[in-house]
Amino acid sequence: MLLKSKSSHTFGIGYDPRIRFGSRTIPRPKVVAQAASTYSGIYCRPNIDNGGTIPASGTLCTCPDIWISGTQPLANFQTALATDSSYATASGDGIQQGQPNYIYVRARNGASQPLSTQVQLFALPCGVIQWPAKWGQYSIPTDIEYQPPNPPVYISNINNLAAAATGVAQNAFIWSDPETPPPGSDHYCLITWMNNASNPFPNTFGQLDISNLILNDLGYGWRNVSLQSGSSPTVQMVTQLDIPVNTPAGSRQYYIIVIPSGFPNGWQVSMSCSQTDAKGNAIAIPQQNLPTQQGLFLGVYAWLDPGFSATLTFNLYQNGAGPANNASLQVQAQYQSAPHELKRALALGVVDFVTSRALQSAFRGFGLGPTAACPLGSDNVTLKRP
Amino acid sequence: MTASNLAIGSIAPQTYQGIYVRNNLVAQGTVPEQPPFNLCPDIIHSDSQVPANTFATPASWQQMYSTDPIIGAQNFYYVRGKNGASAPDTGTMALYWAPAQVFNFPAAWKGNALTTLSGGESSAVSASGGNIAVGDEPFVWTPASVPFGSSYFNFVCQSVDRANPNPIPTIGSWLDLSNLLSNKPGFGFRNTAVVDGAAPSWMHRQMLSVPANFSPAQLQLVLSAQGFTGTTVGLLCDMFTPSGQVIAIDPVNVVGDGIIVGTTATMEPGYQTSLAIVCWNPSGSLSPGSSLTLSMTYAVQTGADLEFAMTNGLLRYQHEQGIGSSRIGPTPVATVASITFMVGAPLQSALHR
Repeated sequence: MLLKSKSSHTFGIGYDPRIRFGSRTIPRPKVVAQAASTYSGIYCRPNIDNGGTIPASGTLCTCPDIWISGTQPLANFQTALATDSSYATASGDGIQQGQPNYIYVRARNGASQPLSTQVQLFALPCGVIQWPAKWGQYSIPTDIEYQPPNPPVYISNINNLAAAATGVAQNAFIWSDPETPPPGSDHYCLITWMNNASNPFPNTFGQLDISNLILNDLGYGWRNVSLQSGSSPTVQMVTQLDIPVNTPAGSRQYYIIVIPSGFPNGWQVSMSCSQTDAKGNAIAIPQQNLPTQQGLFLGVYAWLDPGFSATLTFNLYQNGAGPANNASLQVQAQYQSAPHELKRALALGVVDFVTSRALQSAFRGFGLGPTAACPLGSDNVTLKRP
Repeated sequence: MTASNLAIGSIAPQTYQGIYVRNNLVAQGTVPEQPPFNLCPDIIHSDSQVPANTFATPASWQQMYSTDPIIGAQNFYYVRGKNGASAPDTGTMALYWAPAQVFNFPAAWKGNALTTLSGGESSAVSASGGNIAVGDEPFVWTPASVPFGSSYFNFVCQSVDRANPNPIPTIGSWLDLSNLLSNKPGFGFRNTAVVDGAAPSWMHRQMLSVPANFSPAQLQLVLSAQGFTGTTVGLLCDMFTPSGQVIAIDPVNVVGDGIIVGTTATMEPGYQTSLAIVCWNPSGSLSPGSSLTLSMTYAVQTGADLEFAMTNGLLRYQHEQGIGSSRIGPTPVATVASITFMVGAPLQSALHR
């Protein structure tokens, strides 16, 4: 497992360079169905009453297939959102300012054969929606691992979706730090794009064009959201937590510990992860005071399977005095070696005795058993005084 | 959020909340302590009575003094500690001696309490938070000779206050012994002897005794040195083990600082011997402050031992290159003994010598 910093690259709504010049170079979407018929591709509904029929009727901007999970991820989202009962419901539309918000996209195949598509999601200030050339600036990244300085990955996938089946994009989209809309806009519109050969990027230049697009091309979904006010973090740190798929299963037990240094009283921290653990538990630290005593840490444990890949978002909030120069927040991932691995771990000298003792003491009473923790990686953010 | 997954812990050592005694000059009253565990600088010998507050200054706190007594004369011993708490604290300190021992089992010293000048069994101490406390009167001792099998003395200081009664513990295993050394800042251990850096050779003896109720265990013996380059050192026990084994390190030339040589030996229940450490120093020019140390560690296996050692912070890795003929990877070990031979000053020997 590795912790890979994403903080060296802006991780939030960002520029998807693939569509920088979209509206100028990509032709109009082709018509895939005639009036009063069913959309014959992978589609999202403009509202809960739509069954894939075009032209769509009713409200166009309440797409129930853009699922706003809020500040905590949804366990087993690919199956949970694809059930008939879920498909008949919509999430709330609240986006929490200043917090990582997890959003999923689902779709149904209106064709008679299996189809695949890429899926993208944009968080557009409402004043921008009619200008697709600008959409790329507002792409919401997925929680897929990437290597800075490369940009985040903005594309997820729905693969080989059977006819009439409901599928969910493989990855969560993370709107990591929503802020109030820029001047000229009073709210955000989430737009999802089923990015496939039958549904090229739009070439629209006004309200009527976008309306026409949503009415007749269900390869796009549109959902207006309400921004719930909150405090934006003073500092945000984003890191990727990966367990390679070929990792022996071992104990599956991991610790994530946060070690602050140089923060005075009043600073707070929260942590959120884009995936739940293998038992469906959130991997999170609710917003709370940072310990100020040297050596104290906040820690959580999680059960993770090989192949786990998720984005950890740490928010730091200043409330009072500024940090000391070079104040830092260090994040460590520690693996709890399984009993059958212990002898080898000791022979390799990889068991961290100091941290093991600290974790054992901290988690006494959690029923976790003896701790032999092996460090797997760390990431940190260092604050410089202006 | 699953709040039950969250815990707050500390990776920093915990500060002892009471009047602590150090096992080396670097110690700061935190647990688990870090080795060496045999260089208590808070047991101080003098051949005459001096004001106790002589040893309460910051400069003195950074000094380690000799503990070797003058045979046949009255010797004065002062003890001190530091209050690791923020509130004022008062307590008492006791001082014990033992013929030089490899292992600091209480059986060797708990019956040898020294008495103070006024005949008391302990010396009173008090200090405000974070300050040094020196026993209000010295212990006095007139040893007639060094007991057979040893060539010098060990000392143990015991600090007792209201929050820390620090009874002498019962030691039932090697890890119990390691735990006493690592996690009891109310005890300070001094296993050292001063040697003459100009002497062409010297030998020191100490008793090695294994309790009869212990299980056989393999210990690692490591000789290490600072400033002993050019000498030859060796180690020999004068009794076979119960199963007929010899414990020895053949003479080896010291070519630099650090680990010189090591071996492993099985400590069998009931084994008693005198262990001799010999140094040949043909140049006769060892610098003051140079030191030769014998350390013994217990290789911790998996299971309950490992859990106990991990929980109590007893473990460290010992890299065994240079031990025996092969290079072996790291082994988790717990320190169970250390003895050190130091060349002359800057030990500042005794105050008046």
